[in-house]
Amino acid sequence: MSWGPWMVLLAVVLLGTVGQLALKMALQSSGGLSPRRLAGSFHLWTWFLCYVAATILWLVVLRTIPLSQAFPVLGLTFALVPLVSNRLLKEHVAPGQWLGVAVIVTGVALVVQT
Amino acid sequence: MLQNRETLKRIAYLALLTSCLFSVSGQLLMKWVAGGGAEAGLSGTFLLHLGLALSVYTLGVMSWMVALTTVKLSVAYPVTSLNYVGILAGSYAFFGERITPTRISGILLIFAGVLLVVLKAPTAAGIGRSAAVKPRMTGTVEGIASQEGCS
Repeated sequence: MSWGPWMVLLAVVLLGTVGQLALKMALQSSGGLSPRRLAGSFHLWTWFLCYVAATILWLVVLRTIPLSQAFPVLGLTFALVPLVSNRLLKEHVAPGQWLGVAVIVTGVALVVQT
Repeated sequence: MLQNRETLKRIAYLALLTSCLFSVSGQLLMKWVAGGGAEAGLSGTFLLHLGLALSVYTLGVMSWMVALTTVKLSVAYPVTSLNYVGILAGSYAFFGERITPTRISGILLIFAGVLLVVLKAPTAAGIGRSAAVKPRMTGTVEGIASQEGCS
């Protein structure tokens, strides 16, 4: 299988990661979660756009890569989010979580074997 | 009062199961939609089917969020294993995908890894700080788009 679809899948993972982080930042910064404040929230719009883009690209991925293979790779976002949170948002990541990241990456390496 | 709390819990657990059902169905529908359509271009039928797939999936995500208002993450996340099972079974049954032992092992690892990340096992040093970190929301789209969680 060519590299193309896998690159698109990686893009979906990255968009999902950015979206999750944007959502987190949107929910944290609002003092109160009023609909009006959220509607104008930059972070919330980022989250929304990321997920729209990710959904479109996901359909492209599904044309080539089997669902049973592509879907588990999305688990990579659970590995990337702590990593980026740690670097960008200065969030603490427990040792158990780092282990989880390693386990996820190992699992993904197995899943992408065709 | 106690009866209300019990009912609320039952509804939350039902929402969890519903979330998995809808998320898996939504994903399978999306695969079906992706397979057709593109050569014919953005026909009305294609858009209709896409709308259906996305609606079903979105219901799954919303169910998940409803469940999370009541159920603890430590209970909710393990239930997402049903998502993986559902997708494996559905991919095989409806699309004839090949499920290799390697792929299954990989999925088991990914599931275990996600649990470790989301359910931060407390350590002696991290207990104080772990308590301060808010639990993460998910949309697993699946998980992606997603959200996921029950992607």
